[in-house]
Amino acid sequence: MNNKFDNNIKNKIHGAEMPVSDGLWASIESQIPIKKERPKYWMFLLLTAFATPFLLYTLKSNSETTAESTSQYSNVIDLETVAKATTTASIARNSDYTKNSIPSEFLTNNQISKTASTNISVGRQERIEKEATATRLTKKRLQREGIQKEIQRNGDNANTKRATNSNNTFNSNNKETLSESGKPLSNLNFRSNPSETNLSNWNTELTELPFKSKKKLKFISNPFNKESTARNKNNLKLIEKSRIYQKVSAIKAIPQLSKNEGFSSIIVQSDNRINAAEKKMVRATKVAAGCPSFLRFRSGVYVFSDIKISLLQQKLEAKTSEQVAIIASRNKTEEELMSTSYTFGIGKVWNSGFIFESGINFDNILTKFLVSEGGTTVIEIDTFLLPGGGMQIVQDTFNIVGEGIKNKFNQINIPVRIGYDLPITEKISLAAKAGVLINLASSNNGKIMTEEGTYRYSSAERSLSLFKTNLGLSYTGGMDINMQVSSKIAGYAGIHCNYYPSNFGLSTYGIKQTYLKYGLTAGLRYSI
Amino acid sequence: MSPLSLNNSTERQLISLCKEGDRVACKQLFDMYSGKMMALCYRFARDRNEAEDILQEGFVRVFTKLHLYGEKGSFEAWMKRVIINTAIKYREKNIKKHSYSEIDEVHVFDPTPDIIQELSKEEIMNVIQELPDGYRTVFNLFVIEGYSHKDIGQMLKIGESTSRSQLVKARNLLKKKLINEIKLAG
Repeated sequence: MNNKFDNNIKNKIHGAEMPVSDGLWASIESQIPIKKERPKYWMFLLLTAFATPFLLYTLKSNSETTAESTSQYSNVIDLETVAKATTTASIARNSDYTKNSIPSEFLTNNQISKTASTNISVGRQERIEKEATATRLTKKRLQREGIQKEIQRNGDNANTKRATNSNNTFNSNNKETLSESGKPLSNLNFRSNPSETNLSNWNTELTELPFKSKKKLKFISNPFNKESTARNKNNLKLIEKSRIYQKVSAIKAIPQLSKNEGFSSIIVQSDNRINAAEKKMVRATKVAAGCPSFLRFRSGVYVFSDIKISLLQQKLEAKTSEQVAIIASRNKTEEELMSTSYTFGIGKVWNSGFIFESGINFDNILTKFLVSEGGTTVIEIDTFLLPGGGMQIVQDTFNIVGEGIKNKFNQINIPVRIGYDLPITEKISLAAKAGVLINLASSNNGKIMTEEGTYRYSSAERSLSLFKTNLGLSYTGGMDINMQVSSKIAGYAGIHCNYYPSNFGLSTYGIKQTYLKYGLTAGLRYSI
Repeated sequence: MSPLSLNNSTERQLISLCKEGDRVACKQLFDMYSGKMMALCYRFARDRNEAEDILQEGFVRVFTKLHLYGEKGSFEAWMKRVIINTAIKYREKNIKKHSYSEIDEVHVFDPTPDIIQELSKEEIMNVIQELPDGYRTVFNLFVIEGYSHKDIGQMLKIGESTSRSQLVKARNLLKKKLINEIKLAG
């Protein structure tokens, strides 16, 4: 009778519902702790990989801007001052030119006579070369004739010393004038060998260039613009002939010398013309010679070999709602393992910094299947506190054990990567690369849980392969620090990230499987 | 959103999302079960306010302990278990002494099923609500939730025999109250 009564009551109130207050959810929500997101290390690595070059560039830009602003009134040559000084000197020299004649000893030199009658029809480059040749001859003659002593008598000891020691350089009135107002133009440190330059000098020297406009200075400070400049054939020629500029300086020294000796007529160009050529070359050679591409002595073809050690993230997504349960089951019974891959191949880095690499990559994805053959029982404990401090323990049984078998998904693929190599110093550069992995072949074996709560073999031999064995694409990216250990060999180390999309899974299997590998790279490359 | 409109897989997807901390999913899960769980809490509580307090604590516990749900059995059953434990804990915390004291034996005749059917859900629930705390708890656990006296004894830290006697007395008192209710209604 009691059972009947109980059942009546139970049936009567079965499924009873009561409305709740509107604000109740808000109170509950405020008490639910915010779940800590699992840190996505691969995102951090990718972010670092792509942010670092921009950071470096930004830092460089800032340092240039700072240097420019601080040096605006100290180091940058004031063109007006140059022009003023040049004009003064020019008037004096031109007046000398009108009242002096060219000594016969110089007229005997055919090149000098041609240069002295310089006209516009002669190309500027050719003219400068001729002038330089003339200068060299003149210098020798002047030295031979003891003009050196006269210079010393005039108190220009330092410049005279330079004139004595250098094969190319003399001093000039212009240099002396500029020394009073700032840094002498001719003191800028030109190099005949661009590979000796480095970025820090490059930046320092840029601020010494006679660019008054911040905007323009910033524009030419951009490494990419510099590369454009440097790749320009005309600029390359100018760089090769940068020493000519020093000879031009020597020519400018001649008026002073000749004036002292009464040889003013030896002037072969007007100051304006010399200064115009000078300024153009200063700009071109300074910008181009300091370009990163000229630091890239590693440019060319190379072979490489590297090993990657990666952490793995497996992501399973149900294609249909019926597959949701099996995902939980698989997640519970599979554990991602550390994976490795080995790559060798051939690559090329261009002067521009562009990189192309390809080769063969042996790749694998490893997970551990935790279910044992014997069905060992593990108890999952759910506890609830009871009145008076007691606990209610709920036990669920799973066939999970600590020991399991490895699920292996092996791939052989062709990596095709492109990237950019940014020199940091003469021996160290930073390279960012990204590309695809073209899958040639793959195999897999292992076990997975099924919807029925049993496990099955997933090897291709048993016709239960979870993965395609045909072509597929994965994506790869990373960033390395390269260090040149010898002229031929460079070592590199960095970070990488590979993404294997779900198209590797068989279309008949109800779960999308995507994988992400991220970790460290170490390798060697040999220039050929 | 009515629970009927959601199939089992959708519920599991919601649970998965809740486990990942998705607040919208939590809200949907709350909307699905809050009515039922409120009725459950109300049966264990003294009044509506207390029921809402228990419901609030219960749902917070559900969401914080969701990772312990193994997705093996029914989620609703698991949630009920959590809410009931919360209700018991709440009563333990807020009421210093359980009313498991003996009361005079009540002799009543059994109301026929037809008479019970004449009463609405709300009326029956209100009558259950009027039972003393101890009686009500044992009656709810045994009759409505289907726990055994052994389980009830463990949960409430009372002896099995106490649970049995409380149930008998609760049942008799409820019958008496139901008859009164019917008389009033008639």
